[in-house]
Amino acid sequence: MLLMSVILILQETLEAAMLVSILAAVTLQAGRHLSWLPWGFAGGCIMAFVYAANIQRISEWFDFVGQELTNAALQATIAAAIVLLAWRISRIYATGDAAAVAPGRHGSMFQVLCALIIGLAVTREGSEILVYLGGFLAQSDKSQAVLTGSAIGFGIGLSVGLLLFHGLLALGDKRWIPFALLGLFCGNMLAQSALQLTQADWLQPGPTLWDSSAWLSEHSVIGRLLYALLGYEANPSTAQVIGYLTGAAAVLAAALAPTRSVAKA
Amino acid sequence: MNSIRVFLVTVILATIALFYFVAALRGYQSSMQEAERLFDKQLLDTARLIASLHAEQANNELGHDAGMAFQVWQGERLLAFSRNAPTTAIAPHRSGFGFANFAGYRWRTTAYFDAANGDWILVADRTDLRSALAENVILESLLPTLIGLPVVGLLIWLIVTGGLRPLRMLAKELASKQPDDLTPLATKTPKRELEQIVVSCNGLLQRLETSLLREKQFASDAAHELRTPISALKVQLYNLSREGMAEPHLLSELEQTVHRLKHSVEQILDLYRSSPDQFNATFEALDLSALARDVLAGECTAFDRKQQQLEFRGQPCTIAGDRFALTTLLRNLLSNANKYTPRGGQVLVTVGQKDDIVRLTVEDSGPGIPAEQGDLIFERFFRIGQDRHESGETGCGLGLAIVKRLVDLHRGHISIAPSRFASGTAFQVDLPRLRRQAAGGTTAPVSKLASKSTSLLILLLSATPLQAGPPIVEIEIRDHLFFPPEVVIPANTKVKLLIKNLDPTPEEFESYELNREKVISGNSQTVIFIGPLPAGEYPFFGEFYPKTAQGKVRVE
Repeated sequence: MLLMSVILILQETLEAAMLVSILAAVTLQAGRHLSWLPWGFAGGCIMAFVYAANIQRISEWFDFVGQELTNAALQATIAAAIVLLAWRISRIYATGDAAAVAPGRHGSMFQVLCALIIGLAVTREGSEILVYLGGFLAQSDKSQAVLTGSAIGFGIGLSVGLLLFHGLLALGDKRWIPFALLGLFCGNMLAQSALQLTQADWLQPGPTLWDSSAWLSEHSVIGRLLYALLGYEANPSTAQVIGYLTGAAAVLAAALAPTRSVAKA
Repeated sequence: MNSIRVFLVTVILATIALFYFVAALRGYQSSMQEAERLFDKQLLDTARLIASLHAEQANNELGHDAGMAFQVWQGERLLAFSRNAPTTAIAPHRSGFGFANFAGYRWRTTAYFDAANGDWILVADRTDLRSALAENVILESLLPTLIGLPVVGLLIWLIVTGGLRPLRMLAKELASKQPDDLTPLATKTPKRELEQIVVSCNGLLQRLETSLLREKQFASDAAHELRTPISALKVQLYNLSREGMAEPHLLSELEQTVHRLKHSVEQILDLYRSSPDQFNATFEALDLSALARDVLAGECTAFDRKQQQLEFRGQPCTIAGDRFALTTLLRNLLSNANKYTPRGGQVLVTVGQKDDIVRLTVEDSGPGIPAEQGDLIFERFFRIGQDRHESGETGCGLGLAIVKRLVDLHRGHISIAPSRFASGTAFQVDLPRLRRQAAGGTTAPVSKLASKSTSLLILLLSATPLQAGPPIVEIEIRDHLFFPPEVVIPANTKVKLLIKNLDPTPEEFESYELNREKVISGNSQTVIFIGPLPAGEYPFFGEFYPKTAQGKVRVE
């Protein structure tokens, strides 16, 4: 019971914690404030509660694939926001650090994008946690194990996030790092979105491209970490791989676009 | 995240939590495995026990345990079974452990072959019950450490805070240091990590002090070394012009250049003297109005030359100030107004007080200062429009920087505003008013001539004699030189020469032409009345330092 709680909570927490760490490190390296964090988190919690409370009704939409479609939409929106954010950051770098420090319209767009990404991520992950905990806490005899497991899972996720954040900051002002991380995350989101659409049968999965489960299982600790960080999939479908590559390429394009226009000018 | 403390606490706590949680998880897993092994052993023991009993006995002893089920098979025949067991075999007739689902639960099963009777004894217990039992035991051991984590966090916070205390103390000591305090840091026994910082800081302070002393010495030497040749140059120029050995226009150009050089040297030295770590102020209670009037009288020739109308309105206002510094301040403001106000313009100087503030305003009808340059004009070497200023005036851009510093030294405030004229700037200097009690009962040397309602108008164009008394012309002796070396006074007017000896050494004012002679001791001042005189030039000199102390009075 405890182990299951740990695994479930950890899986959800780890993804959100890593996203928060990456965005926070990127924010500080771009010379911005972390004011998006409380707003995004609070908004995400409220949305997660609403989603969790109505999970039954949402599941019934579109012939009972409402949940998949909602998740796919959330993930696709996160991916789109990450692409916009990458473009925003490359603009900040291109226009120079002086403009980055000055608050203004562009500064608020940066904050809104970050808050949106975190809000949507917390909505998705948080709703799953709430649904899980809500189900188990009704059984009083298991609540202690579930709560302990949740605390351990949450603690591990939070610790990994904090260490990742400080690790990213310690790497210093290397500008390709934010883009690389955002690219991986964006790819991850689109791959998951493709998976959800495949699950809802709105998308044909295509043939499975490879199977590396013997080499690195998704259920191993490293496999789980890589899944949360890079979206590692031991046997991905074509749709997932295409989604992943599309997301990563979009971030790369956003990162390079303004640089090229500046170079032209 | 700029705090070392927050960084240390979060990273240490995150690392501890991560390792602790992973360790707890591993401990849980191995404890659960060990518990499973024990439960399996117990299950097998139960099977052996059943084998040793008769079927009826077994039913009586174990049949009512809801968490346990058993069957005794002989071949394909079911000899005995517990009430919760089905009639089909719950496990294969093969030694070992397995799982089976029946009666709405998941069971752990084992088979034991009783060789004596040739029976297969199949025993099962509920997995949910055994894991719950094991989990409860393990949780009991996990919980205290889980609850202890926040306590660990608090302890880490306290330890880190305590560990960073020497650094914080050092930062506090550095922050509380006055800008002119160059004494070594007092931190006695710094930690080894901070020792180098303290030693380096103290070395730096020591070097700074030495270099400041050297700079002070240099400025004093430079002043002397620069002024002496300039004064000599002026004397030689004067002699040259008298003997008519050079072209007059060449001479006049040369004279202008020398004047400019002298002005720049003066201004740089004034700026240097007014820097906070050099300024050695002797604050006294004085009447700003009277002082302003004195300075105005001394500066009148320059306004006269440009046919500008200089007006003064003032009421007695006592402030605590340094006479020399305030004179320099006024002179710089007036010189500024004189330079940048066109020929025939107006300059108005007012001194008034409101509440605890004494306000000195110098207004001109010049071109004014663009608003965006309002803050820059007090910067050193800043000149509006650079050197291409349309007034065509030369300057080194130090005057207002000096003024700002002197205002700061008097804990005052300077601001600029549009003047009351059609165009131009008003420089407003606000200084704190000195209350009579605060002055310790001493009254300032308030001019007898200025009364509260007096509005004094000095019209230098017409050189009207002052109703209130003779105009005052101030001459300073500094480094054995007269400043200014040439004063211009109106003809047929009695003039009060206020001579200040700023040198520590005494000097004797002497003039054969003026027929005056007076000793002025070091760091003091005196008054010599001259005139009324006909137009002409009247040289004077300092008898103690005649080589440098040369000056003249020009009567026009």
